[in-house]
Amino acid sequence: MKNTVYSRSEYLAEIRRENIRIKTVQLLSVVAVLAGWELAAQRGLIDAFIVSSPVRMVKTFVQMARSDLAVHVLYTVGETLTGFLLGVAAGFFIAAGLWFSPFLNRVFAPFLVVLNSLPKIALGPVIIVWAGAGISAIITMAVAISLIVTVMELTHGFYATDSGLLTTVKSFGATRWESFYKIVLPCNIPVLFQSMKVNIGLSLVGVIAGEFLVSKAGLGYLIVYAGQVFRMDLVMMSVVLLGFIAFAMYSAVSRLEKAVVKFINHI
Amino acid sequence: MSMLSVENIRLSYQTVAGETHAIKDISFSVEEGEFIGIVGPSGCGKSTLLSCIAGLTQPTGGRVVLDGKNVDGVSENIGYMLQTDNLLPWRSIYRNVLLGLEIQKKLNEETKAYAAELLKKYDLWDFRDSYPSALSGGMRQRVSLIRTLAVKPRLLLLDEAFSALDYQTRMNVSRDVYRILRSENKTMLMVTHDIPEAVSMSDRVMVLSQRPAVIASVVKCDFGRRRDPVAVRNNPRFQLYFDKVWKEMSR
Repeated sequence: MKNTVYSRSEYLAEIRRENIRIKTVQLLSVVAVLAGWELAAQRGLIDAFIVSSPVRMVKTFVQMARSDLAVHVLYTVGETLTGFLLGVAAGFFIAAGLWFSPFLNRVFAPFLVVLNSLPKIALGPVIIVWAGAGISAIITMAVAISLIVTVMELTHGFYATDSGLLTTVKSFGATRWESFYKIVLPCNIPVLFQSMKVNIGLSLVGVIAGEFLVSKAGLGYLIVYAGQVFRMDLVMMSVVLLGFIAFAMYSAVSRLEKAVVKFINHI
Repeated sequence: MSMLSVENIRLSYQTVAGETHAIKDISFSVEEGEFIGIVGPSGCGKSTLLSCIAGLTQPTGGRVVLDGKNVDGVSENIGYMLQTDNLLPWRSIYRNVLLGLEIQKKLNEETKAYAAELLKKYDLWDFRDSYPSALSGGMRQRVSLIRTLAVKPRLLLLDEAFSALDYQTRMNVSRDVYRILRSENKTMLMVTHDIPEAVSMSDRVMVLSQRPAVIASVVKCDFGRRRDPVAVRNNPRFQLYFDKVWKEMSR
């Protein structure tokens, strides 16, 4: 650690330089991995038929983009968002219910713990039978994976609300409902968004798992199909695409959080 | 008739592990406009007593009568202030001050004007659009007091209201609070572990015993009602009252 005394402009310039260094190394790492991969494939060090290569993936992408890639992406994104919204909404209402009734919270707490540790993918066959073999099963899977975590995190957050703030509104005669929307809810916006950031990823996991089991379209379907006919380029390309989609959806939630926090601070 | 009378309050906590007798039997009455300090060894149940008077805790026995009416549950005539300012960080100062009015469904032009008047009178109007994080600890506690006063309670209960502040701020805030409460003609009951604070602000200081609490003694602090709680600390009688309270507490 350098112990240099900076002037304001030097300090800011140093921060800018540090950011540029970080971004550069990040970019170089990606380029290095891709170049190494491509080179190893072309030199025959690794079998490009099995592990694919960046150039082959790009070619596949271009070829698929001309055909029906957009449809698959739309299916996967649509199912993920639907599952995510349903999971967050249901989780929020259940958690709110458990906050309103400490009795119910004590009744259901052990069940939540058990359900949380249960691998929800094991429910796949049951979900298909119950929800029907199609999009509804896939969305149900996404909800099943994200719901319990949401309920647990939000319930915990609601109960951990600053007791001083609650006593203050109570001393003014607030009902439990008023305590909830005036104090508990605004206090838990960070918790809500933290759980949403985790959930958008979990929901995608649920959708892909669902598409593996039952689907006619979507990136999960594409991966399973391509794996079966041994088109590893298509498998790898779809996986990379999933990475981009996950990142984009996470960023969207982050942006929403900033907007909501700004809004809350101005009501 | 006294404004507030506390009659034979008893309180025991029940837990699975056993029963804790917090308050044995406490009775006293407060006249309109009086400032009462309550001190006692830590854990003696003084905050619990205040919580009973505020209607937030149900006593095991006895009753609290305010203006001839039993207090059961929270009363609009009683304002309650805690150790920390408990301002909502996502609301501006002005909107924080309106919180109590909102909850009591008394938000109208008249009450808003009163809240604004309080803010102006006590030098916080310029900060009405600021957020609590931008204010110093002392200012925040003053906002908290104005929020409590905005709903026009007749009796104010202060539970260690200054103990989260640093020494200098605490002296200034206690002077501000004293001045504000006197000029708004309020009646006050404050719980504190700080004997000089109790003596400097109260007309009477009640000393509670160890748990289960009873009133061990009452010390009159005769400095009049136009005192300055900081200046009064140099009054020769201050030491006298302090010694009396201290002796009772360490018995």
